Amino acid sequence: MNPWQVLDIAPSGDPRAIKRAYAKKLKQTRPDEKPEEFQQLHAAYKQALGLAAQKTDATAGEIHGGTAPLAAPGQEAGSDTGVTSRGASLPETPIMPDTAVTEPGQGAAPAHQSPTGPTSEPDQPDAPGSADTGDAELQRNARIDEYHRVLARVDSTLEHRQRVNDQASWQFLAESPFILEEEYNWNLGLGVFQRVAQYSAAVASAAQRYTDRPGIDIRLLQYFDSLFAWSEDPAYLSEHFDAVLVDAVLPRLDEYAARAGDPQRGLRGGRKLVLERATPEEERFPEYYFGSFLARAFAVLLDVFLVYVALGVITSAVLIKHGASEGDASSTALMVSVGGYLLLAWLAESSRWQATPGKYLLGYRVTNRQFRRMGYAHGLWRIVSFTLTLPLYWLAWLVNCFLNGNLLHDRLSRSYVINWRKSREEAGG
Amino acid sequence: MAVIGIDLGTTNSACGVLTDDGVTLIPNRLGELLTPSVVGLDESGELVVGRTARERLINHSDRTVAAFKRLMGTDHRIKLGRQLFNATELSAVVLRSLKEDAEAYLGEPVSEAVISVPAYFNDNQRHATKQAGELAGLRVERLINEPTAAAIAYGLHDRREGNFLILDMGGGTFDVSILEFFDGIMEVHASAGDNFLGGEDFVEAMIEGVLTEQGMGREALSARQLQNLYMQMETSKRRISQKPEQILELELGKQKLEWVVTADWFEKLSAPLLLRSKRPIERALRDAELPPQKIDEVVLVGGSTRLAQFRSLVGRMFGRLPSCHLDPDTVVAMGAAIQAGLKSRSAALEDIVLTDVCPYTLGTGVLNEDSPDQGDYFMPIIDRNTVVPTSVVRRVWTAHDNQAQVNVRVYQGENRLVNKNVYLGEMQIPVPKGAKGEESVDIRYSYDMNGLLEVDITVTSTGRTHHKLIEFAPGALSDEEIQRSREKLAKLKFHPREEEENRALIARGERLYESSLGDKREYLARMLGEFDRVLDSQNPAEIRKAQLHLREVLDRLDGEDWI
Repeated sequence: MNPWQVLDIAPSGDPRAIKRAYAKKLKQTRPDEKPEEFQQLHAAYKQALGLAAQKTDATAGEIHGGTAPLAAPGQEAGSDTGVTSRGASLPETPIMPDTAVTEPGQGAAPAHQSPTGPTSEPDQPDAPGSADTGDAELQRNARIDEYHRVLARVDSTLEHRQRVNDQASWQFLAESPFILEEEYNWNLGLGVFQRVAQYSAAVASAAQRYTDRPGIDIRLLQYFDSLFAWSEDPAYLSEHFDAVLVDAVLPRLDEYAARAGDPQRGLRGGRKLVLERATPEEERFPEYYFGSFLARAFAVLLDVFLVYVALGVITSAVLIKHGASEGDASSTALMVSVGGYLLLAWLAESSRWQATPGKYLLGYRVTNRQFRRMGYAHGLWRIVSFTLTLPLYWLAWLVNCFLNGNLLHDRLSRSYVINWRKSREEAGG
Repeated sequence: MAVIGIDLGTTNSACGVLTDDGVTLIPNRLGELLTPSVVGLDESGELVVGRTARERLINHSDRTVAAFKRLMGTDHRIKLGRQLFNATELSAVVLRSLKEDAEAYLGEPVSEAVISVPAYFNDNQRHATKQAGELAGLRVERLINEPTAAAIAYGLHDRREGNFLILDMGGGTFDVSILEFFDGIMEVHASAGDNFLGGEDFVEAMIEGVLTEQGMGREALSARQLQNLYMQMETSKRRISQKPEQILELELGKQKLEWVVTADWFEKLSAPLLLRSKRPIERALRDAELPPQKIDEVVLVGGSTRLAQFRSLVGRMFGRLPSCHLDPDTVVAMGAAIQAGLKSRSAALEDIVLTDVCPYTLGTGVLNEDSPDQGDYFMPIIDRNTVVPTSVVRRVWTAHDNQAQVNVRVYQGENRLVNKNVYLGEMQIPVPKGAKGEESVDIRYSYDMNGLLEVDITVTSTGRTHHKLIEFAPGALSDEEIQRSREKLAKLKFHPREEEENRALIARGERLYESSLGDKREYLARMLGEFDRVLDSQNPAEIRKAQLHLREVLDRLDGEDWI
């Protein structure tokens, strides 16, 4: 696709002209009315802008070639990536003053960490060598001093067994006057990370100084992370710190991050908060096990017994009171119980519990062939299938013995009875 | 017929309409432009919304709720009195009240609206917002991203060209958008955000701070005390730049104490939140591939951007003062109103086109054979900051022999594992059985201008296309549930509009009565009794006079500034 054709202009290196052409076209190709044409137009527009940028680079290269590099090192000319190298950093800042852990490249933050670049430091002179370098020097020294002071305090807080996990004793971090400044924050974050990670790793291995110390609470780690955004840049941390240290902190934060954003936070009032459809995610297992035939037979007996206790006893009592013979009454009661059982099985197996009380007790669930809950219609068909196999009596029993838990009526109704408990245990183990 | 634009906020809502004379914001029944997004039921079971409800939050917190926007698109429900409401229904109540205000103001029925949502709202939250509109009797023609709406208002106002960075920090959400204006085109380059960062979180942090320093938990406070604390902290947060030292009388459990709120204390508590706000800004700049120097203007939107600490942070990041010459509280509603006008093709807006992006990556889960215990891998389908509307197809293959169906789960997020992304729902697609990898399906994600996602799945071997609704989406209401909600809400009525003024005054008076003691309390009781008596007289002139008088008294006695 030729972008110039779509835009209806001659090839041009002037972004302004491209934008004008795009604007003109776009007014006839509104995104809500002609979505497909719009996508095409937009792609052409982006492509044209890209071509124009290349062109400018090429010409610029010809003119200035060899004299002075146009862009800062590490920055592609004219690509506007928003990534400026961290020119104004604290070169003297000793990031790791007292240990021999891997050096996190003094102040050289990963470029993307600082898209805000030099402007984030209003106190840094824009052009190097401007008049107030002396002032800048002072400013920088103030930050370096503060950096050391805070880290010393981190060390002393980690020494105090009672204070380690008390969030209040860490408030001094947020009180640090330069904490909101990009570069100071970054460096301090690395310093704190190293110390906290060392502490955590030591506690975990229970080998060194901190054997009798409590581990760092996840809430505290979250607090650190909210200040220093460690979890935003795991790649950098893994590159510059020992794996042991990184593993002592980041996985825990990561685990939390998935659960972050509690929608209840900030909610005001209301008598009670209810969460009904708790997890839409159903339990899935890699492998499913059929329920055993004998256990299922036992479950059926149990269920019929339960129904008999609930319904049958009353029925027979009522019948006897009305003059029926004991034998008649009990056989009617049994019939009622069996009928009651079928009804119960239908409703319970297609319900949220997916099991009759007996099956539930055994940890069994009735599912469709996708291992999900059956609908009520499907459940009804299952019960009808079951009833259809009943007249076969011992024959059905015999056949079922050899079907490995996938019984006749299961097959007929395209449903499964799964040993959910076992499936879960196997998946977990 | 007019189409209105609505800003449905976490803390406050507003609405506006585009007329021949430009954008007009619509005053509510109290004559105010902002309606607090608070909903309650009063003793007679009637609905209370807005300022009156906000006042009642203190003493009737079990029948009143605020900041429920955060529960949109979740399955949480809130019990008010004896009834359960989900966030969609509560939002519908606020929308209905705004709709009635607009109808009274315009003198004609209103049945269509454009509603603004945080740019970082996910598919479920957007659907919930749309459904809330429908429950309120509004056809929601378009959902517009809040920062985009603000940009429209600024763009039309200034008619300047260049790159704009919009920072929208409201009560509950923080959004960042980078736009370029040229030749009547507003092009959003990138959006990013944090759905759990806003004014309410600053107050929350202050409360945490007080309770931690006192060594107490929330459970030690009665509901009334907690709400009272919220109110006091909200007030002092708003005043923190003018009054760097404020003395508050707190009542916590059984103890009463004096508490000094200082600027230092507030800064310490807000530092983590402010640092968090930098992340989306950095990400948006990165995604737009623009260095900060190329941003021509930084625009602040949303009430929380009034915080001096936030402003100076932004000032430091960009080395310049941000602009905010339109009211940050109502600029989103203005933008939404303009979008509503755009939608009905106002002649004045013929030459304006807006293009927006999808702020997060959408994809599906695919089998993770490397480390099955970590869960499936995330396969992106639509990358974040793709211009919308867009439609992308990717193909996936069966993972097992004799697989009878493919389970397409829809996720949103940036992590490579699905477990760490947001689950939006799923679809079951039957496929012919075959050897592993033999069958495949094409998954097409289509993302429209409203930020709503549609999924179509085609089985390649049969050519059959499935266009099903996404199942199990949290917070989504089925048609049945919508019908039930509609009936439930239809039974609930607002009080007559003309009484609202009196009700708001009484609610405020009662709140003050309960929080004061001694002479002041007696005085308030007398004033409220007097007011009731005048109301009973039903003499309009007298009532008018009594209202003025009572308001004066309450203004004098009320030290809070929190609505």
